[in-house]
Amino acid sequence: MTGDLVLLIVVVITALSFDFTNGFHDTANAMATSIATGALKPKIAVGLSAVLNFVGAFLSLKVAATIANGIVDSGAITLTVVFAGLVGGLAWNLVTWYFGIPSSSSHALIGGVVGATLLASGIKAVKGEGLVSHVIIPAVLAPIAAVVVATVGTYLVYVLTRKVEERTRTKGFKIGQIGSASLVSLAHGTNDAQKTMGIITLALIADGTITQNAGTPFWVVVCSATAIAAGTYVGGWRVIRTLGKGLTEIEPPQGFAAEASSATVILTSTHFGFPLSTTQVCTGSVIGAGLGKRLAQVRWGVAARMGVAWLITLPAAALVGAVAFGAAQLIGGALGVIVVFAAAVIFAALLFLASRKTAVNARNVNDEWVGRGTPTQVRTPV
Amino acid sequence: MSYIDVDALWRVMVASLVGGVGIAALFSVGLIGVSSGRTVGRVAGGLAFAVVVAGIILGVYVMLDK
Repeated sequence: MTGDLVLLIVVVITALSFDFTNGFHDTANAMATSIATGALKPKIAVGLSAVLNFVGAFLSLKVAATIANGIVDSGAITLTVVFAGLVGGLAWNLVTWYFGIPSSSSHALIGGVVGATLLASGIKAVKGEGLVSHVIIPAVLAPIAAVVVATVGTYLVYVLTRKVEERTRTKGFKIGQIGSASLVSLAHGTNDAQKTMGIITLALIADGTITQNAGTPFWVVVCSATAIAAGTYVGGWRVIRTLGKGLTEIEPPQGFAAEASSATVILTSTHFGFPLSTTQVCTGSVIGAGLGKRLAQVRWGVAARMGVAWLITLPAAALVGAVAFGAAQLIGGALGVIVVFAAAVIFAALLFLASRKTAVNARNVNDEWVGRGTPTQVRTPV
Repeated sequence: MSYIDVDALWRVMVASLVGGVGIAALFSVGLIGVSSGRTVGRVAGGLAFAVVVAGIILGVYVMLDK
C-alpha cells in the first residue's frame, strides 16, 4: 500500500467520523423541543431524525467538491490540510458535545481548515473578507433572525389559541411539532451530508482516483448518508438536553413556533443564497420561543455560555487544525497523518469515557434542569 | 468586496418573518377552527391546515431546488 493511498483512506475515515459527529451534535436542532415537550419519545425522535437525514442526503446531489470555498485559497488545499481541518472540526464538535453546547459543525470545520492553511501556506492563503462575510456576519445574524421570528410566532400562537381547550391545543401543537421538526431534519440531511460528500470527492480528485468531472461516486453518497444518520440516531443527548431543557422550559405551542421558525429561516436563507448555521438558527428559535411566551423564563446564563462557545469556535478549531497539520508535517508522510489520527482517536475515547461519569441519555434527558447540563440523578443507560 | 449581501439579507428576514409567523398563525387558526364544533369553523380550519401543508411542500421544493 502506497503512502498516498494510506493518506486517502485516513482522510475518508476522518471525513466520515466528522460526518458522524455532525449527526449526533445536530440531532438537537430538529428534535430537542419535540423531546422536551413529549411530542415524541426520545428514541423515536432520534430514529425519525436519522431516517430523514438519511433520505435528505439522497435528495439533493449537486455536490460541490470544495471545502471552505471562498475562505481559503483553493490552491492551498492539500490532502493533509483537509485532514488537519477535519481533525480541528472533529475535536471542537466533541468538546462542545461533552459540555452540551450546541455549536456549528460547519464553522468548526472551516476553523480547522483555516488553521491548517495558515500553517501550510501562510496568511495570504486565507481570505479575511470571506471569513467575515461567510462566517462571522452570518453567525451574528442567524440567531437574531430566528429570535425575532420565533418570538412573534410564539406570542401569536398563544394569543390566537387562548380560548382553545388545553387538551386539544397541546395535542394539536404536538402533532404540528412533529411535522416542523421533520422538515428541519430533512433540510439538515440535504445540507450537511453533502459537505462530507464534497470533502471525500475533493480528496478522491486530489489523489487522482477520479477525474475532476467524474461526479461523486455512489459509495460516497451511501457512506456519507449512513454516517450522518448513524450519528443522528446515537443522539447527542447532552446537547439535546441543553437546547430542550436548559435554555427555557418549553411547552408544545412554543415548540411548534420554534421549529416552524427554524424551518422557515433555514429554507429561506438557502433559497436566497444567504446560508445560515442550522445550529445557530435553532438555538435562536428556542430563545425566541421563551421570550414570546409571557412570564416564560430564558436562562441567559446558558445562552451566554453558548454565545462564548460560538465566538471561540473559529479560533479554537483553527488552533487544533494548525497543531494537527504541524504535527503531521513534523513527523512527515503517511506516518505523520496516522499518528495524528491515532491521537485524535485516543482523545475521542477519553472524552467518551469522561462523559460516562455524568451520562445523559434517552432516559434522563428530560429530567429537571438543575443549572448544569447533566442531571443530578444519573441513571445507568439500558 | 462587500462584507454583507444586504439584498439577500432583507429578503431572508422578510420571507422568514412572513413564512414563520404565517405558518404559526395559520396552524393556530386551524386548531381554533377544528375545535369550534361548527361546520364553518371546521372547513375554515381545514383550509388553514391545507395552506400549512402547502408551505411544507414549498419547503421541500426549496430543498430540492438548491
